[in-house]
Amino acid sequence: MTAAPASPTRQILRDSARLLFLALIPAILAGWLHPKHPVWSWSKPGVTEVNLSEITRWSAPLSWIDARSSAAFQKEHVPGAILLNEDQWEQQLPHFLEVWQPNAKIIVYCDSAACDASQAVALRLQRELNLSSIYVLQEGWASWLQSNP
Amino acid sequence: MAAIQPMKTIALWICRLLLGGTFAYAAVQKIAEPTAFATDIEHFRLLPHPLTLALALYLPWLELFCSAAVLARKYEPSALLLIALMCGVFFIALTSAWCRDLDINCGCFGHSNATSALPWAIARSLALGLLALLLFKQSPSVSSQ
Repeated sequence: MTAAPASPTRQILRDSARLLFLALIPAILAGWLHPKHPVWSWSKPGVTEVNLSEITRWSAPLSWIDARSSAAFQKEHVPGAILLNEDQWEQQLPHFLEVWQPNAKIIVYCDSAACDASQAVALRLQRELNLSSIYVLQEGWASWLQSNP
Repeated sequence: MAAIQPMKTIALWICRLLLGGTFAYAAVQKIAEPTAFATDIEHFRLLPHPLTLALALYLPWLELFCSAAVLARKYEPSALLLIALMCGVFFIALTSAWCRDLDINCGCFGHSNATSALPWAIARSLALGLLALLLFKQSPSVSSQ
């Protein structure tokens, strides 16, 4: 006596489960052994965000970094800001290092609350240059425009 | 009628290569850089942080296994169904990012610093999803039902 073949739908579901399970094995191994595996944490690592009214109360000198595109920077930017975005990191970083003052607080901004470029640039500066006094402007350029129409 | 059959077989193979090749390429790019892919998923702001990490590790491998299954024609209908399902999820995520005006990289083919056009990524996920469904309909075990 032989077993009846599984219906095509059951077979498809069974094979789908197989594929889903097979992918799980290398994924677990990658999470453990991959040289570039993400660092496990419950909360997203990020640079502290500050709003404009808080910044105006600071007495330390400020260094503004514009993480938007070159075109947006050319059009308009915070007075004295330096252009530094991930697209042209290697070309723009030397200029930042030239003008950077160790005692200044660095504030990075991008377009608005919907962009992540400022967080990415701030995290990269923190990671690669070991800078500690670095912040991200909440709601970015949009908040600057609101306060400085 | 008999002359149409080889043409259809060739066309289906081209579709299979296109779909399997695209997914295999995308998977390898993301497998190489899981942390960067996790950052790309994070930018969509749809999932809690631990889930983005888990997805960044799991999704590329699922894409790779599904593309291998399509190209090797082993578990083919299931792999096509899973690819169509993934394309549906990508479509929803990309459309939601576009509607929220997020200025992000889609992360579809690994991490790049440049932001890519979301409408193009939405159209691509839709096209690949439809291609997967078309191939699924043509699978022997499905079309014989």
